[in-house]
Amino acid sequence: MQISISIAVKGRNKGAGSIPPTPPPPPEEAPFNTTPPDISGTTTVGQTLTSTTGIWLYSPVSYVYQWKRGATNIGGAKSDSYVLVQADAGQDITCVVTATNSVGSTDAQSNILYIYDLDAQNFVTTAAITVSNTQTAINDLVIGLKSDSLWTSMLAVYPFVGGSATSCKYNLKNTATFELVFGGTWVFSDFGIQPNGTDTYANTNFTPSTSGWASGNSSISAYSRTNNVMSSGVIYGVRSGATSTNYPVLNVSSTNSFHNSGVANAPSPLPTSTACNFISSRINTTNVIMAVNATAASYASLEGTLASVPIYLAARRNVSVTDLYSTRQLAFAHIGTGLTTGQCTSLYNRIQAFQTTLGRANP
Amino acid sequence: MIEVGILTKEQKDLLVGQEFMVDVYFNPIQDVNDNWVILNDTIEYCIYDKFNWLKDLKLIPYEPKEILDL
Repeated sequence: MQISISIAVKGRNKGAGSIPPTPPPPPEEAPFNTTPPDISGTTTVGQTLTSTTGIWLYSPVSYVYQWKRGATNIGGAKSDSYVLVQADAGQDITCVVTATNSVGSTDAQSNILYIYDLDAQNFVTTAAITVSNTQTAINDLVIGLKSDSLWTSMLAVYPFVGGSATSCKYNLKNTATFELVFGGTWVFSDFGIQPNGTDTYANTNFTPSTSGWASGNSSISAYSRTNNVMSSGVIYGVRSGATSTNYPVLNVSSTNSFHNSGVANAPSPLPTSTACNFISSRINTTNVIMAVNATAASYASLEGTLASVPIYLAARRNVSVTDLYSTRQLAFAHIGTGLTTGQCTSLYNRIQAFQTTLGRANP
Repeated sequence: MIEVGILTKEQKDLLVGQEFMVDVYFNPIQDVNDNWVILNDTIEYCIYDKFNWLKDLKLIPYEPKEILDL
């Protein structure tokens, strides 16, 4: 049996003779964290992250926030929210919350968030790249190209990741432009795109005369993973006329080479393997820079007319005929404005680091 | 040996600009005798029923055109 008793007290607690309210007991210890702060938000440069205080014992009376990039405090980032800047791209971001009561203060660190460059994030989302290592490789590549001031020289960047025609067709610089159109029986894999040398091409939809090249200001590259010897040596091809001055934009053989609307001698020394990265660049109309892996040099080459048909990868595009098909597996390609010899070396270093992260670098 | 299916000019025109798998397009080519042909691999990879007629093409060994080096 339960008995309930209630007592009602009437009167007013007023004046010197009244009983004062009982203050809470002072905390016995400095704040103790039982649940760490949690930071959340979209992990892309330009977006805002927010932090909770976490859960604490011993009644903290104030909280102070400090956002960190890696192990370094970010100056002025002391509120419960933080807007991500470009310097955060590729970094781990955390927030340390300091809780204080009358006894003392205690720090607690949040979870860690890895931050993506906006352009890298756009590509990863559009190309539906879900493998974490590939996402990181793309992010590091974009950050590296921006850090080296190469990004602004890029007009089309093809990293060939994801292992499908759909994932490999996108331009990392801008997924809305210069999307590849694949023709013929390609093989797509985590190692890049494999043409068959008989009917395969990839139309970049980049037309030298109208898409962003100018006289004496152009570059193009290909990262081949195949070591072979071909009579034509085709990596890229495009031509719109009948003379060597508007023949293929990138074609190297043992005797000569064709670059961005001109012809030159073969690079010296010739690469010992065609499994290499090759860059052709013009920063004037009388020379072409050839870079085999990290070695870049300038060669005499008079520039002709910029072609008016699109650049095809792994084949030559005549006015109306596709021919000279390549068998070299491609793991990267770019089309851009002119690069100096130093920039060609920097670009190669970034590309090679990218391939190394993906486990598909040439030795 | 690479095998190819022989196409008529009309069949070639039907294939140009058409996908045979997602984001990959037919690319009929001409052999040494100027026949329009398509690689047997392309026929095997094709995922669209509307091109089932490709399986009835006559197959021949591929003889490439001689292409002069640049």
